[in-house]
Amino acid sequence: MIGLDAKLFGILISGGLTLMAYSFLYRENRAYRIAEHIYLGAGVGYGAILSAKYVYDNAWTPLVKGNAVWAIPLLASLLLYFYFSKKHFWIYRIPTAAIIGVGTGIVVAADFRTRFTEQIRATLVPLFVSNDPYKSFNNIVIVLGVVGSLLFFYFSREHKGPVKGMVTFGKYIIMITFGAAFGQTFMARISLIIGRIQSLYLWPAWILLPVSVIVVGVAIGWDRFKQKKPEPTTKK
Amino acid sequence: MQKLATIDPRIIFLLLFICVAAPLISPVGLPVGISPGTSGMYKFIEGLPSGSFILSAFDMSAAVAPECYPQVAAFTTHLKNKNLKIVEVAFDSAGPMFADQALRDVFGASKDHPLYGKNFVNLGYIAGGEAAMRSFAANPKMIQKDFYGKDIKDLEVMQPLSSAKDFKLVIVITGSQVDNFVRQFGDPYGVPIAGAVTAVLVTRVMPFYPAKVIGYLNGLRGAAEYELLVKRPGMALAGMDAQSAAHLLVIIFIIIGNVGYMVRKSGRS
Amino acid sequence: MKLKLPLAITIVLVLLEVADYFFTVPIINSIARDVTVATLVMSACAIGIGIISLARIHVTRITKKRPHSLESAIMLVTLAAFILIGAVLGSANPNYVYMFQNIIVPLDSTMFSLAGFFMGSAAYRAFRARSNEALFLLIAAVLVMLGQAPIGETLWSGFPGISQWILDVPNTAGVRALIMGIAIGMLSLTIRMLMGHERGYLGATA
Repeated sequence: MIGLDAKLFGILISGGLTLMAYSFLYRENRAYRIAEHIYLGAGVGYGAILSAKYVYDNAWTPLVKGNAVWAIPLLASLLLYFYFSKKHFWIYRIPTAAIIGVGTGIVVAADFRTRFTEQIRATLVPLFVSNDPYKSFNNIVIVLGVVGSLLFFYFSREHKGPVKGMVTFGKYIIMITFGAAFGQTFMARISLIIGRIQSLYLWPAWILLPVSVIVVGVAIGWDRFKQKKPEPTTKK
Repeated sequence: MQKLATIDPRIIFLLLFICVAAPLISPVGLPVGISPGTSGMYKFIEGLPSGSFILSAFDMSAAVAPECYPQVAAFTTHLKNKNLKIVEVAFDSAGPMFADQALRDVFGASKDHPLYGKNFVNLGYIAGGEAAMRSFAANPKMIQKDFYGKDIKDLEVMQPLSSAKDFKLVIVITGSQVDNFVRQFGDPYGVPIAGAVTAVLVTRVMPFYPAKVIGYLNGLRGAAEYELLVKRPGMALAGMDAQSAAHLLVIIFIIIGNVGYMVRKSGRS
Repeated sequence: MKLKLPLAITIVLVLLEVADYFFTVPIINSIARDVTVATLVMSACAIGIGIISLARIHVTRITKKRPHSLESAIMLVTLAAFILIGAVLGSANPNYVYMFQNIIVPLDSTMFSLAGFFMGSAAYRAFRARSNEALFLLIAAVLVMLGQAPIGETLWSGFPGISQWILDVPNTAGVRALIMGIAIGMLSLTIRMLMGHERGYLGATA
């Protein structure tokens, strides 16, 4: 278009795609499906390029420069494509086993420290802090809350007696946790909506807003018209 | 009451859209306080000596950009003002683009800036998830080239780095989890972690705060607070009124819904 | 052989990485580091499987003239465009960055933001205090939402403090218990893998 530079064109494209995706809120329609499929193709294509760049820079280039050891992971990567062979599918399992083995080993060794022993250490706080009843109260809630929440998921024995009281306390702590999670999740999603609407206010994207109102209005009118007009019956 | 209970959800969507859009056109300007998580991160960076190495680890997808990018712009401004050395790396394929954009927005240019390679660098994407983090933490010079194709050997800022211990702070920009960074950077090397995270993730950051995660930015609100602290008001601060309106609307929805439920329940009994 | 070899590889590599974490033995540390870097390359190459699978599904949809074949064609054209343009120009090229900023970023964040509207609708239609537990959940959610938005502080200066207390104390306790449970689960899953009982990652026929 005359006078429209690349930045403005980009704003129009992003605004248009945003409104096509938001049309799902009215109902599922072709415009939304097109936006969804563009998203899929673009995301996968972009991810492929970044992955290819990583392999090119860090494995292929050193191999070409004479470091032959890089041939091993590159050749092993080719074995992954036996995924598509029915007869030789088992060969695909070899590099997969390597990736999963390394990934699992890296996570589990460190995870037990970070998410278990260090968390126990962080829970071992003094229950009574002198001259600070607020901190004492918080520490008591944390310790009893952690123990109660863990007991809530312990099903090997029946919850009765004093254990039942702890489990009930733990249950309410978990409910508060889920409530906080809902509040934070909602806050996050609204932030995304804010970000999208801020981008729609940019020139020339805001022109699309009245256009989309007209399009939705026409769609609603067409729906109502089709509902009122009975379908002609055909005799067989 | 029955009509209110069976209202078309599209009307609710429209009300929510209007509630978010209206304050963006006509802001009210409600004051924004500073939370302890944001203040913790700010004070820590403020206390670092000039020339300290900071790792900005982008583990974010494009989906969380409206929340996380304003955080990145705000804290990168702070890092620039403090004359700290910034190493940007991405463990998600979308990360390098945002790392590049942050450099352009804060420094005015990325790879063409005269200080690129001396004071800051964008190393690009390292595939492999947590395995990549482990490898990078053990040896930040494990990759051959940066995002723009420059050899690592030619980047002055990378030369003194031998392991994650050389970083004074790792800032994690993520929408998925911080546990993996605590596992691979925090616990083995004792490096403090700061989280520029989406609001969804804050509940999961709390068990590590403040022992391992010294501070965190709570979604768009955290970005707004940091913009105030570095005196660089931006899109995050502009969005706070809309955030308030949306929260208030949903709370009203919850109250109306529950009042209706209580009335129907007492009517039946 | 077809199953035992991959299982053996998994067991050896899990033990190697665990040994690398706990022991400072130069030969083990060196081998573990090299193997890890090699698997990074293999992980990056695995995306090709996804691309081929995706292309097969959508090409079949087009050739057999199934519903939504136009959308499939658009997907394939977009995929090809991003791959070809990225390969020719490079991922750091300003034109490629332009495509990323104006296509991927708006679509990715819009898809996620749709959930905000559905959460608002769910809050009105389904979020009911049917029991004491649900009441606690609701009250915590309302207090956190009021505390995190500036409106809460304007209505009453105590809301941010209460919201922060909920995150700092009961939420920390609950999440801590959950992640400790996950850590135990992760350990038991690894033991099952080491014993050869966990084979799901090797494909359905394993």
